Amino acid sequence: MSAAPAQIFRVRSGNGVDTSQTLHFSFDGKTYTGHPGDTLASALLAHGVRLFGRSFKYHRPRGLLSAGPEEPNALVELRDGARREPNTRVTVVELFDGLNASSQNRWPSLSFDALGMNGLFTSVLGAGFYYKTFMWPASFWEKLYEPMIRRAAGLGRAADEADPDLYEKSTAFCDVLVVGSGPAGLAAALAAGRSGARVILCEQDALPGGRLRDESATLDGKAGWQWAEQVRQELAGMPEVRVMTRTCVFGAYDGGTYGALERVADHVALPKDGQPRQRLWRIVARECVMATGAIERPVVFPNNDRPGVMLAGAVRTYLNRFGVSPGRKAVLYICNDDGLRTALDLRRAGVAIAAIVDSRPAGVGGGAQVASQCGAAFFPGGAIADCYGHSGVKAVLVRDASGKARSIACDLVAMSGGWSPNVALATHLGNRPVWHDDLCAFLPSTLPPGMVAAGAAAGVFDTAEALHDGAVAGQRAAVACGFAATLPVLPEAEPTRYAIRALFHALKGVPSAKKAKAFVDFQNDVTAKDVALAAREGFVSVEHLKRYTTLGMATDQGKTSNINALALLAEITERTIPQTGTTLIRPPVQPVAIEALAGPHRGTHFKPTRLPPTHQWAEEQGAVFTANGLWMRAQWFPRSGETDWLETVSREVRTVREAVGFCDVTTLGKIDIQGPDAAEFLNRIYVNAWLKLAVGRVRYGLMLREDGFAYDDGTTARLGENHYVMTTTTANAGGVMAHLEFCHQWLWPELDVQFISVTDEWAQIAVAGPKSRAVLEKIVDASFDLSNEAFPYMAAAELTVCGGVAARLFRLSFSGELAYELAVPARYGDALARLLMKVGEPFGIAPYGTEALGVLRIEKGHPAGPELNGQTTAHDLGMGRLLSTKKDFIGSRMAQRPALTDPARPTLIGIQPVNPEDMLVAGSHLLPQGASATATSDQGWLSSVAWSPSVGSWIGLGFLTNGPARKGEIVSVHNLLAGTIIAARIVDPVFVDPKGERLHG
Amino acid sequence: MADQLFPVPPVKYGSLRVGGMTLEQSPFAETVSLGAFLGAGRDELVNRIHEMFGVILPEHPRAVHAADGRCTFLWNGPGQWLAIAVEGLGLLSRLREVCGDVCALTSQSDSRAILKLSGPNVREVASRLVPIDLHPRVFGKDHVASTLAGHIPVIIWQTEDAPTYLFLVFRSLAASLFHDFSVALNGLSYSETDSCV
Repeated sequence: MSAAPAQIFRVRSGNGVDTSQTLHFSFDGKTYTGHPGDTLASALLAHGVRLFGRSFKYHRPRGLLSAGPEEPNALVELRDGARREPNTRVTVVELFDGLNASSQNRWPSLSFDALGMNGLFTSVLGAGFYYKTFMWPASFWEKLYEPMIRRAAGLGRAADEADPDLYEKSTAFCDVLVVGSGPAGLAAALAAGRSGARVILCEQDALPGGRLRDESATLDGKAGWQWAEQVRQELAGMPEVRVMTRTCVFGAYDGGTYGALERVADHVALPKDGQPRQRLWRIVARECVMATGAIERPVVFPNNDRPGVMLAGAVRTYLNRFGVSPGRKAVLYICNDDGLRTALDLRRAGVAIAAIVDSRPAGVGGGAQVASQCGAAFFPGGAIADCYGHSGVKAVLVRDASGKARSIACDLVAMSGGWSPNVALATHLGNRPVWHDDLCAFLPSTLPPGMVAAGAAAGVFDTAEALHDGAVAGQRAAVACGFAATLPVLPEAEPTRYAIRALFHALKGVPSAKKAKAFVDFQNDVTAKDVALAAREGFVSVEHLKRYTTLGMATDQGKTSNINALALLAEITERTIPQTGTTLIRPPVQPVAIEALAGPHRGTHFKPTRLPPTHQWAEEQGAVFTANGLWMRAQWFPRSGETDWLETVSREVRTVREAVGFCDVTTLGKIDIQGPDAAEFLNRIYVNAWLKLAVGRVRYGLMLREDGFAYDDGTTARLGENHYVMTTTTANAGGVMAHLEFCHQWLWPELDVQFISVTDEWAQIAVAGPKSRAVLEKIVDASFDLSNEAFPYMAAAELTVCGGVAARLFRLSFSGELAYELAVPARYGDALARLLMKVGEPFGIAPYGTEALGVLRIEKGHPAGPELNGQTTAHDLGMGRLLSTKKDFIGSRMAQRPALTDPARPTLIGIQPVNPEDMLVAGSHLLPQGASATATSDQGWLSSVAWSPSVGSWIGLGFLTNGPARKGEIVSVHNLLAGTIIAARIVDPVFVDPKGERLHG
Repeated sequence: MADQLFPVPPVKYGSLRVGGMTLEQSPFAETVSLGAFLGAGRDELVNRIHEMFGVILPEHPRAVHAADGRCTFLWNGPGQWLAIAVEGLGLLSRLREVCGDVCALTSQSDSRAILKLSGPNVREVASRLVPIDLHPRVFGKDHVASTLAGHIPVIIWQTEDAPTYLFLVFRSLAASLFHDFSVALNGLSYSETDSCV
């Protein structure tokens, strides 16, 4: 590192910089100094740094164009390591001690870039080059062309590591949202805030004031920024007003909702412990004053991208706010009187003005007077025909009104093509802005509900008028919210004159490849001749122009280029700008990091986790967990000595088949249904009959979607005359609840029925196995008769356990064994698991997880999620006979469609490989033996598979054309991913206890 | 007979204190949902609750307190309420006697955990997660709302003027919500914005 060079271009004290303190930072490994209040741009400029980066496509040297968020050129990688942030605009990076940035898209160095030669191949690399060149062979695209293009044309590099910082999200509500704190925004906030309305003022910059800080003009005879400070202090004292700096409102959404990004700790080296780096705001506002100002347009002329060619307004910003002169000798290229301010400000700072080139004819505007004040040569009706200096401006070629050209030495070109109101927020909801010839600008026409534009954003460029416009907008917004608001007394502003005459480019005739490059879109390297080429090839719609040339598609979204391109296209196609159209602007107004959108919901907290009541106990048992939707469930419970999961799961399965096991099934959806019409309601929801289910009994139910396909299944118990409790699958619990609500609220509001979720209310534990009754006898209070006669298969009861705890018992079996589901209030679930372990020990009890649960149900041929996949019918599931013909139910009509009743539809079958050790894989296709592996031979698929310790073989459930009629047939199981084909026999889907004797034991 | 069962709260951690604010799990309460049956059932339900508890069931998202202060009714949707009382009062059986024939009564005591957020700046902490307007002009004491806290459905109930919020959350999601609030609490002490929300 070399010693910090002097800030030789810091010519005065800027109103936003504290020169009493010095900060140190580095750019491309070189150390520099700056001051609090500087941006990285102003600090580097103070040292005379002009080269900030290389352009996207041609790798041309680039400097600063602007002083704000619209910057297309000066993008760097900020910070390093995990915090490295590519494509960061130096114009919005606030300087902090220790800041570290590197230029990007250059190799090997910024001053010598090997790919700068791309510029020599201009005629080849024009618009559509990639589309035309890299079309064939197709296989080359992914492997060769795309990586190559990406390497050459990339911007910065994202960090490889995960972002170590925190991000927050928050919601705020207000009566009046004011976006922007320039003269109009401050006046609006003042008018609305004083009325007592809830006001949020958002300013994307660190300091309020907008252009009041950038201009030398005064308010009430004092510097404009002093008034801005005074207003900020008054607003800060209002309890219902919130001033949010460093907060960019990036999008307008429906219902008065706005997205805003607060850069909480971007301006410091590291966030404090626990402090978020950025905070994403959802702001809901009844009224919105869009006082977003305007963005100055560059002028398109040959080599207008040389470092040192800047926007005239940006030059004033560097001078007045930062005290930095971007050059020593300037040429102005303007088409309006606003740009002339730059000459006067530069002159006051001691910078020489070599020439003022005014595209307006002699006599229009104040150019002649200002030129003589500044001692500058004046070229009315003139143009800049070229610009010289490879890595920084050295001279310009000025063409006067008569066409005579003359070279003028300079190191700074300050240009102004006029100001484009920043109307982005007004167009996000689809409202197209309208072109105004007198202002040479698009202005909002219709606005989203509750939004009003004020100040420069509404085309009101004069400071006094902007103050008034903002105050009126703020007052009206507060009144619309029911507050008595008055207009504040506003400070006196110096009168200004704009007097614009359209100037978009300085080119003669239709641009062609023969001439030097004149850039329209700096960031995407789109030149005037690219626009001409697009038009010549028929891309005359502005939407096509954008996509063909990539104009306006970079991270700056064409803030400084869209209108010039549109004007150029209009001229080439001999249309007016309104005839040519405009593309709508989409959110976000400025780039928003994906981390900010995620907020705190990252990593394992990306989504919430639901924990069943036995979770803590299962953790203590060393269970392995699996995510089941949002639920975290025990997948299996390994024991010491077991070497793999299959060993554990097989042991758990055998425990259930031979002794007794238990499993937390709380995750199944449980819905409490009550009311005089509850039975009728169920009868219309389920395909099977429900009116005759007795109190104290449970029934299996299948429900269809309206389209006739199977939706969900489960058991429903009748606990009382008008009281049922329904269970659903874990996956569909929420969906079934919504389905019931829909059916009740919209289809049959006349049915008197109420329902509420009780999924979380009850800890429900399945106790399964031949010894399950013996275990339950130790838990259920003695007054209850558990005998097979008193409490048979499919019985349900409300009872007490453990000396008076209210509980529910259901004699249900998913495993095919003698089994129960015991429900206790969720708070006791943990204790119940511990108790089952204790009282079940003499019977060899063991907990089992979802994997064993799956094996048990596959062995028993019960369909579950893989079978109820939304594409199967009751018939496919082997439950066609369940469909009642004596009643109407959801899906009954659509289930009768011919395609759904075709007997040849693949139907549920069991599959067993001829060789028991051959592993089955779910998703495999079933084909007749010997048939070629083509789609036409495809007859079905495997949906669920398992190693069955009970059968001693791999087994599977699947769907096969005419399946039930083909028992005994041997088919080929094709696993196309692994490339294996195995022979397997079609069998009954019930592998264990086909007669169901164990259930009833 | 077997051993007694003992209750276990859904969130392992007791409570969390950050910057004078407290996040804690409320003790078990007895909660019962009331869903009015059609026809005359609804008016009859309102009448009987009024007679027995001295309170009119609210038609808007509000909480009302029984005359004896021992039970609170929360609006929970059109024709639906949650009754909440401390444990041991036999709320469900009492309600069964009073109005079991005109409404559906379902125990919700274990369906939802209650997380309590209290202390200065809790409005701002809550706004990190809850997307509704909590400004005192809009949401005050005994206002309730069914909404989301981040991704998690909650019923939020403001119990004090200096805001203290109760979040009724499905028991299985209580640990996740506790985590999300702990993150929101930790970020707060560095807020640089003004205090009004």
